[in-house]
Amino acid sequence: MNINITKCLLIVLISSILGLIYNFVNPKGINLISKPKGVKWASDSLVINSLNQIDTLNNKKKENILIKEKSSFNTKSETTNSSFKPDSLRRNGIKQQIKNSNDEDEGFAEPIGINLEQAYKLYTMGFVFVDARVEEEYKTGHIKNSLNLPIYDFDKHQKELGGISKSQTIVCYCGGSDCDLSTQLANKLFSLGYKNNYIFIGGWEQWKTAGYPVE
Amino acid sequence: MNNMVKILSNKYFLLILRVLLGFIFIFAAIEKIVSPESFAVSISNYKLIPPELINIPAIIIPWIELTSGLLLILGVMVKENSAIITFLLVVFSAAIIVSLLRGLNINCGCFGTIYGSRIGLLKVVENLLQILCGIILMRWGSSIFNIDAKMRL
Repeated sequence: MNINITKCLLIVLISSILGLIYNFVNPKGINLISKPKGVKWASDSLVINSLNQIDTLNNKKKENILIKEKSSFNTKSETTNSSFKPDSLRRNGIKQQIKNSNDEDEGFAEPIGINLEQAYKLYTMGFVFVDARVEEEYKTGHIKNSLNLPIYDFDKHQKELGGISKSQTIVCYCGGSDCDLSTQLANKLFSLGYKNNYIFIGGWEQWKTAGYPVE
Repeated sequence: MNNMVKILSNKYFLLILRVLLGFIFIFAAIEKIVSPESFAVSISNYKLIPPELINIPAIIIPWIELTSGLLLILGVMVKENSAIITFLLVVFSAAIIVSLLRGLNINCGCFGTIYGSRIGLLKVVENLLQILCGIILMRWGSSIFNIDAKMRL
């Protein structure tokens, strides 16, 4: 074949030097040695804090209802309409409530990993779950009521975030523990200002195996 | 067999292969150069390189692809650049096959993240076809519209 190995090595060497120089001058350049993006795991107390946040909101909600009941004689229908319903809060109510009560919340220092049990606790309390997988995989099955925000097509799906306030707690997940999309999505959301981010590491596989709500 | 060799060593056929392979690699390189972080993430998804070292191939590989692609199109050191591209393709294919065997469901990162697709047998077949083109160019080179040849005159 008559290939000159020295020439090959020279081309590789020159290209590598060009790459390093470009990376050095490029504002989007990356560090030569990367810091491993190990996910910090949430302690149960941290998750309980999030749940307490909701309990506090529920109590406030109930207090508001009582005040309304006292101040108005037309109580029956009003109370029924505004009584606490965790499921109905998932997409709309809870966002606004957390936003109102938590506007000055600075959030976490980085997205935090949670296990299946912790994820289910957050799910039952109505937190928003976001699926980082591609649309086709999402359509074949996902956690019930979760939103689809594929990290590789983020800009197209970003409108899904429209109704979610930046102080709201979001749980990102993907295929399973081997999949990195949830971490990427959580980091992306974090950089956009969504500071209360959890990463459900076990993802869809663990959730499905556990028999939790899917659709 | 002789006919086969005649077709494969045809100068116009080799020119087409050279330009095609060159453009594929330039196209593959540009998105990765524009967004090195996304490419680093794609590499990390394969879980084959220690996390601390992932950025090094993410910075260097796209530039090797770009340089080899450009030199192939210009007809400079065609055999050597084909060898580099073939070597890269073998490494990429091995990484995809290992990941498939490990049951990973990840984006291949082959053309960056915007045009990237999931790893799968189709991707392996695509790479094998390109490896075949590379081997043909390594064997016969390409002598027309070739800057190397002009420089020798």
